[in-house]
Formats: sequence, C-alpha cells, structure tokens
Amino acid sequence: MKKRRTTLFLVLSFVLCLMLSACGSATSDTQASDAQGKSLGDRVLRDRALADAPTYDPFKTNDVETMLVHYQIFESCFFEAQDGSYQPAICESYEFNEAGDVLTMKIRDGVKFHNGSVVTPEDVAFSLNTAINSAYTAKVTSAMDYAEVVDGNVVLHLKFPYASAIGCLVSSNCAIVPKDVYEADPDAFAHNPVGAGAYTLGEIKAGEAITLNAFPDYWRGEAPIKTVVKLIIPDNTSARMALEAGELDIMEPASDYTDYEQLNNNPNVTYYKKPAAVFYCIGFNCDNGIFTDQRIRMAIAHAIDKEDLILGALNGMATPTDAAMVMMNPQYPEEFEATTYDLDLAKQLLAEAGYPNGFSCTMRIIGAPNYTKPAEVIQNQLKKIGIEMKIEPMERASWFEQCYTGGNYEITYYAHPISVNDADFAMYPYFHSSGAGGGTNFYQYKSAELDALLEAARASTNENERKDLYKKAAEHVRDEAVSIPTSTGWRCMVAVNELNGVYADPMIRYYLYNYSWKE
Amino acid sequence: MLRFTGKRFLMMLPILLSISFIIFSIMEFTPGDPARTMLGDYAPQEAVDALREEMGLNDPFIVRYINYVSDAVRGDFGESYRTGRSCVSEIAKRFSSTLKIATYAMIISMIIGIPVGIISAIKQYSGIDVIAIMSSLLLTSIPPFWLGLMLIMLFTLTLHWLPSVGSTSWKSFIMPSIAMAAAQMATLIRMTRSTMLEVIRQDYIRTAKSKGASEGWIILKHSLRNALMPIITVIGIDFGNLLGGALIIENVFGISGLGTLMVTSVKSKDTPMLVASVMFAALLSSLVNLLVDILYTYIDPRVKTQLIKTH
Amino acid sequence: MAMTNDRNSTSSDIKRRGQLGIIWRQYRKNTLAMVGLIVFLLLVCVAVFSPVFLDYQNDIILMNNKIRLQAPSAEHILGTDQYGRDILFRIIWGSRVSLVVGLFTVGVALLVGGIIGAISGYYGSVIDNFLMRIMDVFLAMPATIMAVAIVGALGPGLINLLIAMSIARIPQFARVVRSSVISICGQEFVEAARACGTKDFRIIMRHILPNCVGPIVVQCTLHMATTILGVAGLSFIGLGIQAPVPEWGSMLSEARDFMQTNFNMMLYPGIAIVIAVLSLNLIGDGLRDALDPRLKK
Repeated sequence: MKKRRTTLFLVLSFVLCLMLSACGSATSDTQASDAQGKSLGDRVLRDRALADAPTYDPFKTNDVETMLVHYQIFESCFFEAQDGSYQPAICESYEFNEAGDVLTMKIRDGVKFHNGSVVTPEDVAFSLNTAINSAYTAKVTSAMDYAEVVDGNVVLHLKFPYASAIGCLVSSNCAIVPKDVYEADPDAFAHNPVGAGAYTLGEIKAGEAITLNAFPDYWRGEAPIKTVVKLIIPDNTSARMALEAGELDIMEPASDYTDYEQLNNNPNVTYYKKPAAVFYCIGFNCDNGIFTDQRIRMAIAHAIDKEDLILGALNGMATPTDAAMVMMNPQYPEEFEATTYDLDLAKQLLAEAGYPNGFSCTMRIIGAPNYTKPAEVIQNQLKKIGIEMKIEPMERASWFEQCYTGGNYEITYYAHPISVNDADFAMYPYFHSSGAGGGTNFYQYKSAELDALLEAARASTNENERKDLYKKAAEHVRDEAVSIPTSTGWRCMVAVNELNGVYADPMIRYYLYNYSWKE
Repeated sequence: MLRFTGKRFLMMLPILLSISFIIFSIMEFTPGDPARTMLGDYAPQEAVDALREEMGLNDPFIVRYINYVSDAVRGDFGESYRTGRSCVSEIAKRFSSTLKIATYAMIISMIIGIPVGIISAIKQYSGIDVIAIMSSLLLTSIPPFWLGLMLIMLFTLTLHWLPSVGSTSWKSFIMPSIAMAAAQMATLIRMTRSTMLEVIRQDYIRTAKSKGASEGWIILKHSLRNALMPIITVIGIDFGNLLGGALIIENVFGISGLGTLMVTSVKSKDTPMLVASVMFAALLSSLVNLLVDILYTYIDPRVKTQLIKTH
Repeated sequence: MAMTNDRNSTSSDIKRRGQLGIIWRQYRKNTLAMVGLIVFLLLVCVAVFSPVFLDYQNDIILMNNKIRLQAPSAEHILGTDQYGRDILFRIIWGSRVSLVVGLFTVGVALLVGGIIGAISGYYGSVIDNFLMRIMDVFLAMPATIMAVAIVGALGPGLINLLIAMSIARIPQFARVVRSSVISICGQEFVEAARACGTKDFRIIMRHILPNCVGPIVVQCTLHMATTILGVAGLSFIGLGIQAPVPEWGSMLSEARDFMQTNFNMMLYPGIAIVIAVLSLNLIGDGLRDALDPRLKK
C-alpha cells in the first residue's frame, strides 16, 4: 500500500513537473513588461505591430508595416522632419547638376553602423545600387539609374530630371547598409540586420514581440527612450483594450475608425489625426480573367455608393475620392466629374458584355478590417446588379506575394499609399506599364496613352502643366475603370499623455527617435 | 512495468504514422501549385518547373510521403512557405503558451471539478448537488470563446484587473485558462459524481461502515481510488479537446501559440507548417494519453496484474 | 421457415413499441429533460418557419448603413449590427444555419460511423481490429485541429466545413454502434436467426440495429450539441461559415469591435448558442437517464 502510494505520488509529481517546466519561460517574459523603470530613460516604450516582420532586409519589402520597423534600424541619406521637410542624415549636403538628373552627395563623416564600422561612400553607393536593382523598391527607385563614388562623394545618376529624388532617398527602401556584411550573405542579413539607425534589433519572439534597443553611437546621439518593445497584436480590438488597460503606450488605432469616440474620450490618451496620404480603391486584374472587359469594370464603377461604403465600413470618418490620386497631393483637381451611381446603366453594361444575369467572382484581400469591411459593403452593393462576389481574406504576406506581385486575383481592394506628397507617387508606380508583371502596377494595366501622360507629367517642370496632365490621367483611369477610388481617410496615432513627440504622419514614417517621456 | 510502457510507446508510433499519412493525403487535395504560389503568376514557367524539381514536387505521392517521413524522423519537418524558416523552430517558439493554457485549464477544472463532484455525490439530491448539476449543464453549453470575451469585458475593461492580450505575464493566462476550464469542469463534476455514486452503493462500503470506521474517511479512502480511474481516462481524452479549444481561445486573447500558428498557416496556405503543427498536436495528445495509461496501472493494481499477465 | 421469421419480427416489433412507450414515460418524468425537448422543438419550429416571415435578401443580409449600431428599440427588438441589419432576424436565421449544419454533420457521421461500427461489431476478429485501429488513429487527433486541417486544405466554405466536422465524429459513432451491436449479438434471438439461415445483412438491419437506437439517439443529440459549438468556434476565427451568411459564431466575432458600445451585439448571439446547446444537452441527458434500467423506479 505505502509503496504504491509513494510511486503514485512520484509519478504524479513527475507529470506535474514536466508540464510546469513549460512555465519556466513565464518569468523571463515579465522583464519585458516591466514598464515602471528606475529613471525615465529606462521606462520601456510599448508599441504595437500588426504582424511579424517577414524580413529585415530593407530592399526586399514594400509592405508599410514591415518598413515601420526598418525605419528604426536603418538610416538613409535623408530623414523626414515633423513638418514634412527632408533633412540631411547620412548625406551631409547635396547638389543637383544643371540638368537636374545627377545628384552629388557629400557623405557625413563618422556615422557608425551597429557593428562599429564607419559608413563609407562605398557603402552608400552599394546600398543605393542594391535598392535600384531590387524589384520591391520600384516605387521609390524607378527614377534612379545607378550610383557611384566619385572623388569621395556619392553620385546618383537619375534616368531623367527628378527633384523628388530627395524624397525617395528618405525611404527605408534606400537604407544604407554595410557593403561587406550584406554582400557576404544577403540571406543571413535578412535575419540579422546591420544598419546605422537609432535602434538595434534586439530579441525577437516570433508572433509576440520585437524588441528594439537604442544604439549608443547613433550619429544624432542616443535615443531618449532606451528600449522599445513592439508587441504583435493583429487584432484591433485586442490592441485597443491593451492600450486602455495600460499595457500599451502607443499604437495606431483601428483603420476603420470604429474606436474613434472611445479613444478620443479617454482622458489618459491623446488621439492625433491628419488627413491620410493614401486613398483606398477597388482594383481589377486588367490582364487576366473576367475583368479584362472594360464594360464590366465600368458596370461595377456605376454600382458603388461611396457614401454608403464610408458609413458602413469606416464609421463615416472618411471622404469619398473620385480621382485616382491622393487628395492631399498638390495636383489633385479641384473639380472632377465622378462616375455616376446608376444601377440601371450598370445592369445594361453587364448585359452588353454578355452577363445579363450577373456572374460570380472572388475578391481576394488582406484580412484586415480596413479591407474586409469595405469588401463586405461592396459585396452587398454588387448584389443589386446581380454580381455574386465571394470574399477571400488572406494573410498579409500571402496577399502581397500572390495578388500584388503575382497577379493571381480577379478583383481586390487595396490602396495607393505614397511616401512623397506628389501625384507622381500616387499614379506612376501603379498605372504605368513598366510596373506591370510583378512590380507595383498590380492592376497589370498597360496603356500607351496613359503611359505617355504619366511620363510627360513626370518630366515636366511646369506645375500647371503637370496638374493638367494628372487630371487627364485620372480621367483616363476613370473612363477605363482600371481602378475605382473609394475613400480617403485619416492617418491616426494614439498615445498615452506622458509620451512626448507624438504626431500623426500621413506618410506613415514614424521615427521612435522622436519620442521621449514627459518629465 | 518498463516493458509495458515500452510497448505502449511503440503502439503510439503506428498511430502517429497513420495520422501523418492522413494529413499528407488531405494536403494532396489543396488546390494550387506551391511553387507557382511562391514565385507568383508572372514568373516564367521554367522557373516554376525548376523550383518544382528542386522541391521534389514532381515525384509520385508515395515517394514524396516517404521522403517526408524519413526527414521528419530526423527532426526535419521542412521549411514554412511563409517565413522560410524551419517549421520545428517556429513550433518550438510557440507551443509553450498553448501547453500552458491547456495544462492550467486542466488543473483548474480538476481542483474545482473533482471536489464538487465528490460533495455532490455524498450529499446527493441536496441543494449543493442540484446547483452542481445545473451549473455543470450550463457550463457545457457555453461556448468557451464567448465566456472568454465576457471575462474580458468584466476583468479587463470594467475592473482593469487582468491583461487581455498577449502572454507577457502569468496574469495573461488566468482568463484563457478559466474560459477553457469551464466546460472541462462540468464534465469532471458529472463524471466524478456518477462514478462516486456507483462506488458508494457497493456492498463493501456497507461492510466497512458496519465495521465502525467514520463515514468521511471510508469514502475518501476507498471510493476515491476507484472513482479516479474513469476520471483519469476522461482527463487523457479531453486533453486533446483542450488543445483544440486552445486554438480559438488564443484568437480571443491574442496569444501567439500553436493554435495561432495553425490558423495562420491555414490562411496563408502554408502546407509544411500546417502538417508539422498538426503532427505536433497529435503527438502531444498521444503522449498525454500514454501518461494516463501509465497512471492507470499505478492506481489500480488489478489493471496492472491483468496487463502483466497478457503481455 | 418464413413463418418463424415473421413471428420473430412481429415479436420484436411489439417489444420495440412497448419499449418506446416505457422510455417515453420515463423521459416525461424528468422535468429538465422535458424543458429541453420543448425548447428544442420551439427552436426547430423557428428555424423551419422563419422563411415565411423573413426574406433572406431583404431582411437578413441587406445592409442599411444609415441605421447601423442602434440599441434595441421597438422597430429592431435586439438592435442593429454594424451594417444596419436587424440582430434578432439574423439570430433567428442563424438557427437555420446551425441546425442544418448540425443535422447534416450528425447524419453523415451516423451513417458512415454506424456502418463501420455495425460491420466491426458483427463480424468481429480481424475486421473489427482493423477498423477499430483506423478509428483510433482518427480519435488520436483532436477534433478541432482536424477540422482546421481539412478546411485548411480544401478552403473555407459550407461543404468543406461539413466534411471536416463529420469526419471528426465518425469514430465516436462507430464505437457506440459497435458496442451496442456486440452486446446484442450475444443474445439468443440472433443465434436463432442465424441458425435459420437469415442473411447477415437482414440480421443486422432488422434485429440488431433497431435495438441500438437508444444509445445512438443519445449520441446524436449530444454530438449535435458539440457540432453547433464547433461550428460557432470555427466561424468565430473565420474558417467556418463565410460572410454574409448569419451564423452565431461569426456574429460574435463581428461584435468584438463594438463590445463596449453595443453590448447587445455580443450578448444575444451567445445566448442563442447557449439555449440551443443546452436544450440538446438536456434532451441527451434525459434520454440517457430514461434508457438506464438502473434508474427505473
């Protein structure tokens, strides 16, 4: 009896120990969550990320979310100040040539990489060339030809006169990396990045948190906040609850604005907002599938009620957008004739195209509320003209791979985010035929006429002429229904009141370096 | 004893093998070409064909399966299509959270469920018994994820006592475990109650009573050991259910565990990761069942002698 | 020969009818079980007759964003959801979805599992061993996880969901039918029938299976309850019933964004699930008690 009982006890405790050994990691977790540090500088900033960063190679992504982390780790030739102006960073001073198509940059001395080596002009030239040759960075590098080192300066040759080149160089896509490290093993670099930015990449807990540590030798001086933990919280409601419960210090609020009233009325946090530098739109695969027929695209354009969509999907907090440009672009037309909301005309067009009783299709989108909610409303609206649209939400990275780059979709809902406030950024990468076939032109749309308009607008230096050309381009997009712009919303940021230096940036360029704790 | 354990362990292997075969076959039905998916619609066909060769996708099903199993036995479950990293490492980083939730839920349900069941049986038809039965009926009918959301409403949003998201501290596991323990508890209450009732009725208890030992002691000593058997069986079987339920609870509480990994790999059509994580869950579940079987023999000597005789 | 068979069948018919009456009377004594039965029948009525009062296109899925997120009112008894759709109507229609999925799943699992269990129990030895080993393999995999794997391979959608959910339940039905068949096989009238040269198939269909009905029905109700819970769970994470079809689980998922401002969106679909599952559990429990000979007073 006794013997049996002791063995039973032993077995039970062994089992318990086995299972509780998994609890061992719990103690190490609490270190990251210890927000009340000894001095202000030690207080950890808890930020939020939507997902793991799939790669830390700055040249291999065009996902805004991933780039948010890259901006902290890497330094580029220029950085963006709060007022939107571009300030010299790794580049100390610069000069364009007469024609405006060659940019000479003097590189700042003594800027250190995280591994201790100094940034050299060779590193800069190598980084820029790598960026130029990467398919992912086309949006910011399409105007660039190649870079070289001449007399200790970096000379960037552009394909044509392009003043906006400075703005392009701000992007993390043009980050400066150490040539020797990157060249030796680019694949390893994607997991162990070395940059010159204000923060180094610390511990990564897959699916849970990314830790960033201030780089003591950052050229502008060490960042005020020493440790930043980006907690990975894909769900907006969970993130908001975390913020309200004091587990998060700063986050971007729900992109469908469902939490606006609540957060705005919360006395512990401040809700910052600015008009967004992005418009959302319905996209069609113009090269493959049922939507190659312009009449069908046009039918859908006539069946979309933008006000209704904004009300249902965005809590009413956005502006209907008709021209395929970002509304804050200086070239956005004051007057623009929108496609009319006309269900009968839509049905007629469908009949003409051979589908009098409608058809079925699938909309493949990123599975986030700022895409799924409008998709649901659109599904509802298209039912009225007989189109049965299925919605297929996908993982972010998969959508980028398969639909954006791979062209494997019929209809989608996405946006035109821009990194420089110019209609060229809102239209050229997305509509020019050079971007088709795996680049940024995810519509796979090829039109010589539109190409000509965009090229001319890009090359021109006369602002009135540019404005006119972009209006014509938007009209072309409208008449061909390549893309149906729906709405422009707000770019928002919510943070606890004790955090200084917070602002909403339409370009979604947030430098953690700017933040500090209030005394 | 060791022989018995060894034999049971060996029996696990064909089951795991069959599971892998079934999952692999299910994955055969997945539409789409993984190589094409990885390279995109606009990659030239030659590149896709080359990648297919490299990935071994053109080999017949059996060959691919055998390669998969031989790699798996050596610990290589392939690389995730999504992140490119080894499936095993991704799982290793995350399974502890899921295991914690399932284990804590199990422990909580045992700590509350078994005593309540015992009291319920002893004081049959009393107020406590009725409440126990009613609440256990109710608890099995409440969806655990709804209970989880309600708990969040109360403890996070109203009272601000507990965190609602992530797995940063031990506090993050309280609500998920309770949400999952609820249904489990109900089953244990009823199981314990019914087995205890059966045992109490047996004659030898009457005999012991007539010998004069106090009632409480009799019940605890004699009935409990007998009642423990079906209870332990239930625990073993239900551990698998707990793992499955953890999938959805992780979503509610934003915990990045094995379940989230599985759901993410489903949504991104990441077949190697999905197969690896399902295999891992099946392995965990089988291990627990094995442990339960071993415990069985320690608790009931009759089973042990029976087994030793037949083996 | 024929006459003997007829007499056998008549007597087992009478036995069955008498048995049913006894079981029903026993069941009636259990108040909770009766409550469960009544509630469930009400639910079925609501599900079956709802198309008479509600139009799917106009009442259930049509968006009306101008009246979105309203609190309960006279016009919309439980309020409106984030797209202006009446919550009560969607809950009512959701009962159709849940019940249909539950019925189909249990039906398929019963059919397939029943056949496997009957063959296994009747023929025994090698076939039994083989089939039960296969069932063990399926049982070793947690049901939700297997469902996720199947939906993962085939893609989300109603049919794939049904396939996934039924496969998980087949082994359990097989087991129940098998044990019932085994216990009945030992009885004399089966021996007698066999001695008469009756075909195996007839024996199984006419003599054995009808006597298994009791435990099988109990399993059916209980599995239907778990299926409803399972579908709600899968839909909650987006792998079950797809939008815009109203399903209690996906309604709860949509309600998360509005938990604090529109609690009604989160409360009522959950209550609906509890009512449906609880009534089925009560019925199953009541039946189990009614069938248990030891409880007959």
